[in-house]
Amino acid sequence: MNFASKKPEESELALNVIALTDVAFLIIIFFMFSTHFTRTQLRSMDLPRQTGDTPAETALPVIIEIDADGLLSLAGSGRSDLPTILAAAQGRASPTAPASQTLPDLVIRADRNTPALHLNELASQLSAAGIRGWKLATNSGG
Amino acid sequence: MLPLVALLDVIFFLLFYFMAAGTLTPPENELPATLATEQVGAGSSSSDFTSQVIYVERASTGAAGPVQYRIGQRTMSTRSELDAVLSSLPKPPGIVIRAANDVTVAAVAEALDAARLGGFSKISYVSGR
Repeated sequence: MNFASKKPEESELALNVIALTDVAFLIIIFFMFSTHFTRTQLRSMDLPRQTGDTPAETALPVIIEIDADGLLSLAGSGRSDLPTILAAAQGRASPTAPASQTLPDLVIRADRNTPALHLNELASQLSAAGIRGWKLATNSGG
Repeated sequence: MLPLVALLDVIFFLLFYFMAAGTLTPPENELPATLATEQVGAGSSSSDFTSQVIYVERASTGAAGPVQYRIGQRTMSTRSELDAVLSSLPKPPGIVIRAANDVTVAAVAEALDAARLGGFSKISYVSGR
């Protein structure tokens, strides 16, 4: 007679982590593709809420910020004096670059509640400096 | 059986990183404009039409007055009215936007966006009233 007792099944508590791993990877991929990384050099600003165009993937733009009080600053540099700002805007064009070369964009980020007086003054200065094209940043979420 | 603990650790670290580094702020868009000289729109166009000018101004004096848009003799107080008028204008000459100093940048952006969505490819901006 075989009295050998049946070997008890190993009751090892094993979590099935394969499905968990799959889901975690899917979430990571979702965040990788849907994330818009904050441009930390830019100030937090309540931009005008209009649809606007999606920015072109060109060279890094020169960004001029106008806060709600009308104070100008050059994004990323901390400089707020007008000559420096205008020089940066003019400096987008390299003297040796061909005329057909696409210039980096000049983007104005202005708080939506800023009086247009400050935008007009900046536009006048840019125009006087021979700068013609610019773009107004908007917040498409509005 | 593969040791998955370390793998899971890395996965969750990546997950937390993307959740923390991402931002909930919507992406920024842009409204293009060209800075115009005072002569633009005053009869210097080479086409048969001259550029129309959208005046962005306060309906009444004082900072509290509502913003209105004016093209020639037509005055529009809402975006839908502005869109309707812009849709009827010829597009080749382009359009000029002139904002008064006492309106907000939001009103300027509204006019720029209306012109862009109205089909104008040449949008100029003139500073001052």
